[in-house]
Amino acid sequence: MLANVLRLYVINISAFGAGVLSIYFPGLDIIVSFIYLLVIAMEARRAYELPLNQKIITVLIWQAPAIFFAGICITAYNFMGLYEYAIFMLQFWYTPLVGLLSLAGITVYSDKPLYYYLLIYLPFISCFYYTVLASINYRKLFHCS
Amino acid sequence: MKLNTKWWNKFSLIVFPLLILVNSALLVSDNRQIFQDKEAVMYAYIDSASQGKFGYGFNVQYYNDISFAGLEVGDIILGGYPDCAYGRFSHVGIYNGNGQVIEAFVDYGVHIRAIDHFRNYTEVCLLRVEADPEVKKKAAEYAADFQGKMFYPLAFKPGDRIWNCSKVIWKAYMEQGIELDDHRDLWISPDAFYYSPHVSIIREKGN
Repeated sequence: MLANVLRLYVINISAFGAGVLSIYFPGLDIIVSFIYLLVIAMEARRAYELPLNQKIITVLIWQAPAIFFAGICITAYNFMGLYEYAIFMLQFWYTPLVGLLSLAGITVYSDKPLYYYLLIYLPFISCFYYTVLASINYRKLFHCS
Repeated sequence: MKLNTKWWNKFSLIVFPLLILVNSALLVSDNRQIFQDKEAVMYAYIDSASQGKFGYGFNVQYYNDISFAGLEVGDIILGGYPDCAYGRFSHVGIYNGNGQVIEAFVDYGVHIRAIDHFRNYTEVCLLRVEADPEVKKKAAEYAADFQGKMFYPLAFKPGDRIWNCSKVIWKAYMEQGIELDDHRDLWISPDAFYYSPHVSIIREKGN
């Protein structure tokens, strides 16, 4: 389980660098987002054999920084003066997905764009994405032998 | 179909470092002159980081009494907090008339907002771009077209999906044939507008 968590952190940090640089080449940022989703899906498959509670613990540790900052944004609680920076930290954490988020350019509620709400709820969407992919029995699903 | 798990395990870990290497090489080869320019924005960031300064500085409770009277559509408004990592100013907007300014913020994206919040900055400056009023109006209209687009602090100049406050204004004037970034940098900082030869200072407050 620890190895899975470490791998997810290494992937997230290196994907941050790749995500930032890819913004310079418009279009590549979207490709990086898809590669990131694919890589996380493959990491989820690595965790298939783990019991469900360990899968959940893995994903919660991996997404802990994002859950923390999303919590600050949602509750508007200025923990250690971090409220103003929380949304920036969330954006940096989800830099690998910036390409896809930038496609959600519409204002939806309270003058705020869709990407803002997606950023806040991405920690929970990410947990769901990983846990579901780590739990699906593909052989059963596709009747493969 | 069997998946080669060993190959995938390695692929997951090396794909992004590999992309960093390739992208870095392409970016440097495309911008060699900028990397040799010691006044480039990235070196300002690095210098500031070495002094413990990060981001836009400290949002202090402040009220400046600058007058916005006489502003014309297309004028540029700069604001700055103490200890900003990228210069004297941390934020910029373009005047859209009727007390409204077009700008970009992390939680609103590119949007139109009342100009009054520029009174909260310790440093504030109003700039006039030396251009025909019609050109300035077109620049403001161009910027307004990007409402709702995404804000990302490290938005590079290329592309029109990802923006920061400076890029919106730089691009709006660039489209009218006015280059406000003398350094032709990878990113543009609000200070670049202050030092542009194409602008004159209307008035300013602060240090």
